[in-house]
Amino acid sequence: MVYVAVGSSEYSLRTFMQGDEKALPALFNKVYSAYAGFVPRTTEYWTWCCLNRPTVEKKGICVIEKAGQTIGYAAVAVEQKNGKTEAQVLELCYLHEEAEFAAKHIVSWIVEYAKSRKADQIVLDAATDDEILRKIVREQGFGEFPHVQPLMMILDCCKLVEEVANSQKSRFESLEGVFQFNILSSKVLSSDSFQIEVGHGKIEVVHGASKASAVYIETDAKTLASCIFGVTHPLRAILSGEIKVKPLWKIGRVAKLLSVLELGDSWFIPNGDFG
Amino acid sequence: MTAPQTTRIFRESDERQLLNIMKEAFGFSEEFWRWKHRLYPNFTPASITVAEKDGRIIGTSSWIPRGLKISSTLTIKSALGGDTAVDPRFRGQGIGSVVMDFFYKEALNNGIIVVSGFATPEVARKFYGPLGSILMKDSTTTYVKLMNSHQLRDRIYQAGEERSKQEVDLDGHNLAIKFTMIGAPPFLISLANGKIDLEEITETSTAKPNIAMSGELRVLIPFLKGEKGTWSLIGLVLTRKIRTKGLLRNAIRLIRLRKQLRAFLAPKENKSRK
Repeated sequence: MVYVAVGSSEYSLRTFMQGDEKALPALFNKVYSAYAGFVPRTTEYWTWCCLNRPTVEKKGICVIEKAGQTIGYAAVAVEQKNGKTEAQVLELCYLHEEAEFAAKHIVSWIVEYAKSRKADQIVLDAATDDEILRKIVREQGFGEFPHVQPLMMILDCCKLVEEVANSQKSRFESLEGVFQFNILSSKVLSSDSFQIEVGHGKIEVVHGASKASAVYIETDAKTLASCIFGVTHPLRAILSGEIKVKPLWKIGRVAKLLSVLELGDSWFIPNGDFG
Repeated sequence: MTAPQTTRIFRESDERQLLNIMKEAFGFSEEFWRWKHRLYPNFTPASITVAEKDGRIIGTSSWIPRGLKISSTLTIKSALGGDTAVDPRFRGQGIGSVVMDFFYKEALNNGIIVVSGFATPEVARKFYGPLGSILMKDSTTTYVKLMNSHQLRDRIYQAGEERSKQEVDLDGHNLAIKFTMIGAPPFLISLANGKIDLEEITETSTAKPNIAMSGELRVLIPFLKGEKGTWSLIGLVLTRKIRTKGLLRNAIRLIRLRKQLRAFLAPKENKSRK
C-alpha cells in the first residue's frame, strides 16, 4: 500500500487495503444505483468481481480519500487480448461532489499504472452523461470508441410484465379492462399467454386466460421486449403488424397500455459487469 | 456406432474438456475460467450448458445469476449470458441454437426473468437477434487510450499482406502523412520504396510529412483496416471530421496524391482500377 498526498493535505491516494471490500461496494451502490443496467454490489459480489479476479492485483485498485473518507476508487485488470496487453478499468467511481478532483487524480493514476504494467492500451467504460470525466479523459489523450452493446432477452414475459406494472402503478390510473396477451413461440421459447386486469386502483397479471377479455393482443417476446425497453414505439409495432390487436379499433388502448409499461431508461454498464 | 448429440447441465467431470473449448474460443486460462464460474458466489451447475456427442463436449454456454436494475426503480432476477462456443469441427450444424435452447429453459426453471449479454452489433444481428434478443438503449461510452502504436502497426502490416496477395504495385509512389489522433500517440504512415510503414513520432523523429492530419482515432481505423478508401478519406477531410491545416491546399494535394493514397488505403479499390 502506498500513500500519496494529492492536492491539499486532506486528500490522499493509496492502493487497496483490508477493509476496502466493504467501503468500495457501498460507494459504487451510492453512485450508480439510479442507472438502469446497475448490478447491486454486495461485499461478496465486489470481492469476486474485482478483488479476486485473477487479472487484478491489489496494487491495481486505487482509493482516493478526503479526511479519511473514501471519495473515489478505480479497479484495473491487466489482461492479454489478441496478443496485446490491455488495462481494463473494471470500475471507476467517485462522489459527484468531488468529481473534478477525484476523476482527475484517479485517471492520472490509471495511466501511470497502465504504463508500469507495460499495457498497450487502456479501456475505460463510463456513463455517457458524465461530462466531467469526458473532459478529463480527453485531456489525458483518450479517444471515444464504439461500445459493445448490451442485449436483452425475455424468458418470462408474464413475470416481467407483472414486475414492471407493479413498479409503475400510478401510470395505470387512466386505464381499465382486461387485456389478453398471446406470446408466439420463437426459435428457442415456447408460446405463452397471460392476462392483465386493470381497474379500481389494482393491477393483476396472471398466467393463462382465466377471464373473458375485451382486447386480444398477439405478438412475440422480442417485440414485447422492444416495446417495454423503449427500443420500438408501441404504435409503430402495431401498425407494422408485429403486434396484432383484436378488435382492431382497440389499438389506441393497447398502444396506451404498452406506453405505460415502457421503461425508457438508458443503460450504463461498467467493464466489470461484462464478467 | 455414433451416439446422438445430447444437451445437459455441467458435471464435475466436464471441467477439463470445457477448459479446452474456452481456451480455444476465448483464450481463457484455467484460473480465469474457474474464477469466472466455479468461484462465482451464486454458482450452480445448472448455469453451464454442455452439448455432448460420443462422450466429447462439442458446445457450451453459461449464465451468471444476478439482480439487475432494468429501470431507475425496478430490480429483477436476471442472468448474464455468455461464453457460448462450439467446437470448430461441429460449427454450422445448429449446435449453438440447441445449446441456447437448453440454456434458456434451464435459466427459466431457475426463476430467471430476463437474460442479458453483450455483443457487437454484427454478432447481435446474426446470432442473438434471431433467438429473440434485442439491443438495448445504451448510455455507456468506451474511452480508449493506445499507449503505443503497436496495434496500429499490426493493422498496417496486415493490410500490407493483403496488398501483396493482390499484387498491388507500390513502386514509384511516395507519401508521408503525420497523424495526431485523439486516443493514440502521434504517428507517421509513410509509403517509400514500395513499402508502407508506420512509426511513432517522438521528439527525436526527423520525419518530414507531406500532410499533417488530426482528429478522432476511431474515424481513421476503417482506413487502416482497408475497409474505406481514398475518396472517403478526402470526404472526411472536406467535412472536417479529419482536420488538416490549410484545408483547401491539402484537399487539392490529397486529390493529386490519390494514386499514392489508393496504394495504401484500399487494395481492393486499387485492383479494380488497375
